[in-house]
Amino acid sequence: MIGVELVKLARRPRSWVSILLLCALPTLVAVFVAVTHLAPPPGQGPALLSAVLSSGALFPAAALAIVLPVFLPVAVAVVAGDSIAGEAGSGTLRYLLARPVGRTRLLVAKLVALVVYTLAAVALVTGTAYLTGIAFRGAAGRGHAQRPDHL
Amino acid sequence: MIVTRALTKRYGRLLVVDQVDLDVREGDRYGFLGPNGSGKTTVVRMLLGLVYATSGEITVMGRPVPKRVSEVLPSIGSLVEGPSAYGHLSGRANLALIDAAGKAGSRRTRRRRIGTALERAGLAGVDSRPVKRYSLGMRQRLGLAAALLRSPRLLILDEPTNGLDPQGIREIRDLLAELNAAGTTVFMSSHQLAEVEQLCTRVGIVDRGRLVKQDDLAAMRAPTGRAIVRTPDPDRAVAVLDGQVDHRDADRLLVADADTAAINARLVAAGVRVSEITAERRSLEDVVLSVTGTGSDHFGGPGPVPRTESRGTS
Repeated sequence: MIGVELVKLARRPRSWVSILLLCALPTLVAVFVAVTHLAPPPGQGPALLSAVLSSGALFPAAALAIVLPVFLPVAVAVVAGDSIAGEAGSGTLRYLLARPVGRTRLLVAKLVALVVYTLAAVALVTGTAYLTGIAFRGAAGRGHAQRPDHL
Repeated sequence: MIVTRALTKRYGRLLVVDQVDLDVREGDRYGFLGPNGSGKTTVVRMLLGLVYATSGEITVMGRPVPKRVSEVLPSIGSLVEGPSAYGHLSGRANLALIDAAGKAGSRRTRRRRIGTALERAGLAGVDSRPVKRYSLGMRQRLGLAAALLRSPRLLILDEPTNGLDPQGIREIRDLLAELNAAGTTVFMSSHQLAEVEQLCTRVGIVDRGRLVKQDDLAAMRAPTGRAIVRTPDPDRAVAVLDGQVDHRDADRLLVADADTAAINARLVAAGVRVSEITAERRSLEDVVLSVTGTGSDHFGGPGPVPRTESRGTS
């Protein structure tokens, strides 16, 4: 049953779109920071921002800080609601219950699938953030290399 | 197969199903008839344990429902409140998911079983387009295929021919008759009399939540003891059948005598030409209309309304 729920989740475009959006958000921030030089120079400003700007490999931490408080819960709520309320609305839930799948088993399977979804989302956000961090570290470095000229 | 005793369902103050005593025997093709909103679907949902009865007992294949419904559900194929499927997946993928849910059959035979079910439901050649691009009839067939996946012993179908064209209805009728001949008991609800009349062997009629009649179709349609005579010489026929003619409608006479052979002999002996003579039978429609009121989707007030008006399709 858990397998069925995982397949359903994996084959639903909505789950991939939500993960894609979650990954896109920190990337957008990284591009924005690299292009505009708005960020304070390393050593000044908030500690986390300063650490992230000095090393691209730390960017995943910043990405998670951006995504975890609001956007990930929203995405999980959307997918979770869809997996139960969506199925009830479209009528597929009653065919599952008439298969028969026990109500408790069904809920547990959906919960497990959702946990897998959440972990996958976090892993993918971390992964893309690491890649963007590495890719933009050069740009960021050039950013504060140029900074002394302006001073 | 299905026995209910004093089955009652109440939603708040609304009594939806009232003291229904169903009796579906093994091998029956049972037609569950009733106007819209008369409680057919609620009964079907209770039979499958999807909603719980307010009071009364249900036994399906010897098991109490909903207590031990999970033991019998694997051998029941069902179609409740229309078909539904995951719109973004193909028909085959949908069946595979449904088959894998619950106590599935063997994984090795899944592909073959899906193929058989699709073929039986008339979707053998279906392409891999997602279900959201299916027509209503195709969805209905997919729902039937899902019901047939595990070669069930009992089929519980709620309006199985909804959305199908006349050929499709006929195909499904033949399919159900064939499955029934192979030992499957068929319980179908419908508000289409013609369909039930052509397929079913036993009929239960429900009206405003009450089971108003339950009998073999043949018994319901037993001869009424009158004969219908059609003749080009109606005046002379009336004279010959002195006093026995109950009703005359142009060249059509209703004769109060069940013995058609004797009537025919008398008319012919008197030189009256007879073009048609047959025993009068009640049609299922007459039976149904005599025991049911207007459908509950008709809110036309208490006055006398034509009963046929309320039988819309929905």
